[in-house]
Amino acid sequence: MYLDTVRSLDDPERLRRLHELETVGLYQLEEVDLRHSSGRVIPTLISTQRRTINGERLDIEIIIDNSERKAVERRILEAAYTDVVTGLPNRAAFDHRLRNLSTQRPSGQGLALAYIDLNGFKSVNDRYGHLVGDRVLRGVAERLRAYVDPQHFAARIGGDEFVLLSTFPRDEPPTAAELQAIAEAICAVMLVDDSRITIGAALGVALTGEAVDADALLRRADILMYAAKATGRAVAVDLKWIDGT
Amino acid sequence: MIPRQVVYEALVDVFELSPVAICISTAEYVSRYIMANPAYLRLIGRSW
Repeated sequence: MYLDTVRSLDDPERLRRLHELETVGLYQLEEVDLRHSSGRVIPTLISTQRRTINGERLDIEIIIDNSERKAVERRILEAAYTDVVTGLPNRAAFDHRLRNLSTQRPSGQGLALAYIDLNGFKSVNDRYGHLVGDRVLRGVAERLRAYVDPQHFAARIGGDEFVLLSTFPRDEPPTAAELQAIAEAICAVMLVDDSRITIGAALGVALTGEAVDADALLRRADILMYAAKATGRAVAVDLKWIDGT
Repeated sequence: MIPRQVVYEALVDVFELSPVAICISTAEYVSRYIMANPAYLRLIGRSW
């Protein structure tokens, strides 16, 4: 059966459904995307019964519009992967992205994980209150978002902890100076309710040009972040390759 | 006893009036539509 489906005729799922019709004579409530004449994709659930009537082989199809359920599913999934305070991707989204990029990058691409821990954020909360603290977090997120593109992924993974996960051509790795500039940009003075708020940041940046264990990369970036913090500077970056490249 | 013809006509009404999309097509690798009800045509934005 070929309706106005989105996928090609030899799509494995379509061939499986055809096999079901040939062998079992029916299938029920299969998820199939149809194409509206406007080009819009319509998620549906299709049940099909194959019949032979007076020598004519027919498929009788009942199609249920599944758009609303799919939209709800998508919203739930988006909520599960979004930090509610900043709107950035959250820890779960970061873990998912890190695991994919650790092992499945285009050849010739390296991976940089910048672990960002804010300095002085607790003082902001203590002095101005948590609502102002949240606005500072949103400000940091907004500044980080300026770096987000297909090669750069930003997330908030803890209270005052952020990450910037980047792919790069292996012969053009990011430098400590570039990361220092990013750190200084996200720590620029913020004006919140007429108060000039200053925060700092320690960045631990682990680089790799190889397929790497995601936990090892994260652990190394975390250690480098603590080394940066130990310098005592308001804004500090420690950057190292983890595979000796 | 209600004649079968009456029952079949009622079933045609079920097909035509159903809010659920229904279609009948030839059982081929690339099939042809034989009948599609109004709900199906509305769903995919086409006319018969």
